[in-house]
Amino acid sequence: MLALMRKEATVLFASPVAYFVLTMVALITSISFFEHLRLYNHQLFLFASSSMGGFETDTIPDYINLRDTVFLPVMEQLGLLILLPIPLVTMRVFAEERSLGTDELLLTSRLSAGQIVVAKFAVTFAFIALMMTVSFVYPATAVISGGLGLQHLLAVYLGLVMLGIGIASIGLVCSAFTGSQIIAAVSTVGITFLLYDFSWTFEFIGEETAGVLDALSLHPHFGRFSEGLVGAANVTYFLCLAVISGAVVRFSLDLRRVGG
Amino acid sequence: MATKATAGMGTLGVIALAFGLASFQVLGEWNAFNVGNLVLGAGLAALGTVNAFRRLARRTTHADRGPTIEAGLTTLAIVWGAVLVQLAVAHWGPRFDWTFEQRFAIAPATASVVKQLGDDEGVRLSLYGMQGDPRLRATRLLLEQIANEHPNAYSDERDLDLSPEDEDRYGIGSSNSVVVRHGADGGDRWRLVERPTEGALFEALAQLRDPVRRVLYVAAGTGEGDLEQTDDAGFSGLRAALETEGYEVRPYPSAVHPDVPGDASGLLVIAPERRMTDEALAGVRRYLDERGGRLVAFLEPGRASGLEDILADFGLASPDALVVDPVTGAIEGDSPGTSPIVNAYADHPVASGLNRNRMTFFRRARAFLPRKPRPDDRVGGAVYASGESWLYDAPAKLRGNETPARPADARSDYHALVAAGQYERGGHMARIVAFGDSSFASNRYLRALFNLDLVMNAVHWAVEREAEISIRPKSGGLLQFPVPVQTALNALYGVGLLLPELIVMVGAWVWLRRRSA
Repeated sequence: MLALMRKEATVLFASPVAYFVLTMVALITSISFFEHLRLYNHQLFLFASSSMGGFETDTIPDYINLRDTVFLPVMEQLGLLILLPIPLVTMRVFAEERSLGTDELLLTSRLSAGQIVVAKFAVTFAFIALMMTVSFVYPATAVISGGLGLQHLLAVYLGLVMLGIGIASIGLVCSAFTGSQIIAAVSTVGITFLLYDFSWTFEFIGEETAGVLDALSLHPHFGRFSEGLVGAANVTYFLCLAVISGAVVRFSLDLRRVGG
Repeated sequence: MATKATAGMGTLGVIALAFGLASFQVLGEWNAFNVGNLVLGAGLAALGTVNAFRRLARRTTHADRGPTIEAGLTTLAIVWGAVLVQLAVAHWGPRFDWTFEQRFAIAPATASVVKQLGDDEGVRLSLYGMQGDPRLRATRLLLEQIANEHPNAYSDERDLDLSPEDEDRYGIGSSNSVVVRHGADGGDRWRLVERPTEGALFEALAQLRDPVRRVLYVAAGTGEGDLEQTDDAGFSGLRAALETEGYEVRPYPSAVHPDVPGDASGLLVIAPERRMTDEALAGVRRYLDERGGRLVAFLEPGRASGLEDILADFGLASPDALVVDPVTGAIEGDSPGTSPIVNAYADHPVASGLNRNRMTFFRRARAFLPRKPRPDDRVGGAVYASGESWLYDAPAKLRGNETPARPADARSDYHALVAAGQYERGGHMARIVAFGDSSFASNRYLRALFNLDLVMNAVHWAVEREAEISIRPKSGGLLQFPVPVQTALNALYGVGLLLPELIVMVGAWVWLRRRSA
């Protein structure tokens, strides 16, 4: 299984797609974070200027704060941003093997379907973690140099890693059921987009159905992290999504083994 | 061919479903386009699924079906297992507050009052809001966190536009208001909280508790602190806090009616400016000696009200001297050390929950020298200035913000700023808590640091309501610190742009190397 993981990592990092994705996410995060920070400072100094009473007289509206003005919008942007590059990474994991015919070699190897799934999922998730770590460096530097602690930002990034794992899981399922990388990528974007947020349906459906849809969709679980609240339920939601996806992919490999 | 047809049908079905749902999302209503797409998409997806199963059935032999069914059942078991785990964790799983200001960590006092209300018929917190109000998100989370404290506590959210009856009934005037209701099915006892911070919700919840109230008499008539006065020097905040936590506050005009009334649960004396009458002092002494009285007294340096003699007889002697604590710098224009910020607490219920990180602020305080008048009495300090503190024995001579000069023989020591005693007198148990400062509890400083907790816990201990001793919610400061733009810009060029550049370089090198190979 370690050999398969090594091979997966080598293939991933031999492709320019991996570097393109890492660069894009890190660059956009840096620029977006700086821009939000600049806007936040601008608003803060505008309201705190001497003509409006200064910092001491509660002249700064509540909504101008690091959480609502910086962390939350940056996280929302990044949440949507990673919706595009992650399918680029996951699309090839199973579909490429299938289109090249190398999946038969894999399926007839000594590895069980479960081991294949674990190896491929682990490498993909490690890449997601690396991607978020790279994008974390600038915000962390800016926050620390501003004299603030890292804990809230860590919660934000834990949420982003979890969302990344969720999207990657969906992407791996899509990749496992097709031989076309394009179909895998497009269907991942489509399914993730549909699962992302059901709140827009709430005014048309009943309260109970809304509750179920809310529990199923990605955004409510992901959004909690931006508040600085790390809930075990939100973490397990994404982990369970990964487990369910792994089980479905394993089933697809079993079917391939049996049905060809 | 069949494979391609199956995959094609499935893909077309997903595309049609996506367009149908997206169209419905944008328009918010059903029309021929979105209904048509949804029907077509569902039909194609179903056909694709059926075809896939039929194809599988054709391509598998009888011997293959056993492992296939087994694999399918295993997959189903894993899926259901994951769903059950998620449901269990969603119900019981913990949540951790990683915000800078511990925004979602519920104070022990709030948790305690929710537990009391939960045990007694339950409590419901309803958030009324209008769509698009950005404050609702944080309030919703706060209510969920509070409701998590007891299985009989619930939180829900209602659209203000769709609840005109509730708007009239509860007098809701704006979005982001919370109605706290106590009792079965929401109950008839309720409070409206229009600025729902944890502190405001705690007060509403506390007011819904058992209506039986203890009567607390407050000495008046010789220049004591005024519980009706609402400016910085007044004590109206203390009155509100006492009423919130189950006390009925009544005046005790000591010069007119020297005897403390029979229904008193306790007596509060806030730093009389003049000497109390001998009759009044005798009344206080009788209350303590003969009836097991409960006294919470605030003194001030430079004042002699006569109360000091009574306290001294109960082992709480307080020399007329100002505590100077060099560890604390100049605060609010006072000379350095005269307004100590302290964090040394004895193991006493009055200081329960306070620790090195939970400081209290005194402004010009005198110290106590606790000693037992009788062997069975229990007397001791509860809050201490630092070990560097010393006593300046002529506070009345200090002018304005003059810095007290340290005499050569001044001894540094841990000086008790708050002391407490318990005494058996006349077959009853008397309790006294004495503070060496009164502005500590004034409107200006009551909610500074952990002052409110100290003073309220002292009152609760004095009147034997130890169950109420707790740490109350603090108004969490929002993160409104500026992050210097130049620093952020330097970091952007130093790290934010450099790192992506390096990654691109590595990528290009790997790609070129691969091409040449």
